Amino acid sequence: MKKLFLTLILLTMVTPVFASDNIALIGLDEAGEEIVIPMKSKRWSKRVTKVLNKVGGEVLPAIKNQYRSEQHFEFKQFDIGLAVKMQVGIGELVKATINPYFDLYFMK
Amino acid sequence: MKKHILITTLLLSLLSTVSVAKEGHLSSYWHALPENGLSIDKANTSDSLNSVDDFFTNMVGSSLGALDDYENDPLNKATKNGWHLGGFKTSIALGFSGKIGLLAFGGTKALEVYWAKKKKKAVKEENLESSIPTVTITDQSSQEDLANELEPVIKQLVASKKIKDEKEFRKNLKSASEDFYAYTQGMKSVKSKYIWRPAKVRLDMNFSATGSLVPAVGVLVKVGGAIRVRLEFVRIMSKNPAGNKMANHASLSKRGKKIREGTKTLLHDLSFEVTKAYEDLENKWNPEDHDFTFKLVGMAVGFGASGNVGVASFSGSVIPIFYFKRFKDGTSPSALDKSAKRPINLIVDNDSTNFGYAKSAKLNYDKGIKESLFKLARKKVRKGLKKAMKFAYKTTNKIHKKAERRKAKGKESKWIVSKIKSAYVFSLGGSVGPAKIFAKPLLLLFWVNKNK
Repeated sequence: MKKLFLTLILLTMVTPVFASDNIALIGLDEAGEEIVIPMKSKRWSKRVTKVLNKVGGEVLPAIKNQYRSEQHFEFKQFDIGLAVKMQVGIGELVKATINPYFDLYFMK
Repeated sequence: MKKHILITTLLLSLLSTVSVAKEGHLSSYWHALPENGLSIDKANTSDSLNSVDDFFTNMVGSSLGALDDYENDPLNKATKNGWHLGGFKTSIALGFSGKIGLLAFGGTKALEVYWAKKKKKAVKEENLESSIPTVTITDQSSQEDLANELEPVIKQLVASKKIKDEKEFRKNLKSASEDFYAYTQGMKSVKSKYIWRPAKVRLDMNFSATGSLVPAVGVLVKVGGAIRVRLEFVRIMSKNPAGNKMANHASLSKRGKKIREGTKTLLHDLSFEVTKAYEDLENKWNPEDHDFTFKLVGMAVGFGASGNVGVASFSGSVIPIFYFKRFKDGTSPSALDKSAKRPINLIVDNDSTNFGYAKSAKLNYDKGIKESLFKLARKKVRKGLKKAMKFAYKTTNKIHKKAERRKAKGKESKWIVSKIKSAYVFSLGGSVGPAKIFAKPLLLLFWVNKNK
């Protein structure tokens, strides 16, 4: 009974190890081959925030300035499709370039 | 004690082998189609989504985390002249062996999750699509009206120097728009009053600078650098069927007439099957027991060289998407409907793998020069549609629950999932699976948040 109890405790302790916080980045390369790159989801989240900051802080003001001269129309929404080149590490030394596409919708 | 440690270690290693092997992979029940060379993994035929549970936790966590971090940054809090980030889309892809991940290079999307800001005025579905020059016609429009509507778009694209060869562009656009008009006339002629009926048809075209049509890799794939033009037809249904304007047959060419007749038949049959599949699903579950409602069904339809219209994905032709909507005044399909046994056409590119499978499964097909036509049994199509609807319901439910669980843990977000779009392919035998990264989707399902 004691041994069974010990086994159960061990199993309970080990099970959370299987829960992964990695997120797979997946896609086809130029030759049409499938590529999968694992990444820590928190790291991915930070990368996305960086993209959002870049667009919100630099791209959006630039677009607004470009259309400022237009007198007859008022823009209510900007839809921005953004293909971003990112370098991600796969292992200690090897780096891969990924090309995720982001759809962002800015509204007034 | 030693024996006991050995047993525990064995148990653990067995458990880890099973978990690690399947972790992050969708059960083969969902994605293994007979002709793609993957046999159904007998150890993993469950319809549960447990093996991709961590992926959805991390996907929801990283998307909401990024959006909240952006939102909480003092620099971004100060909206500039009222401008703010109101929507974001996460694209998810499925690999050949069923590995699920965020789409980070080229390829087809299996799922698209749309995020929207809470408590803001509802963002119309159309507004969340990328801005493409769109020409919209209705029941009242003639072929000349469509040509007239296209003229300013042509002039604008030529003036902007995006199109270098105006003559070639006009020729290709005219040919595609004539086919599109014939499809709309077929849709207008559908008389069925089933619950799910075609309400809209959309044709997305990609042109190169020389004015030639660029085939898209998949229906949903964006083509970098191409010039996109979208044609749309919205059916305005009169409450009185006699009030619906009759299709304008006179202006159609011989090819156009074939497209119209084939479209009319196919859409009637698909209306029957979508309604029946949804009703069967409703008898087992309550598909709307969460915050989402099943809004639209999209089907890719094409006209093959053999002169037939079918659910289609083949190169060298424009493939419009027909959208089926739920109508409150609709009726259930009747068993007496004589068309209920008529097969559904599937038109796909010629592929040696397909022929090998068709031979082994004893499927009949018409082989053309570039594409082939397979006749799908109605029962199998219905079963496939039901499976796709079940997958869409389950993934929507899971994503919704992940966001709720995050909230319950005290991570309140200003963002919600507003819409989930999933894409599927048909097997030659009629089965359906989520579209993999290299596939051309034929079926699209849309779930929309009721509280957005």
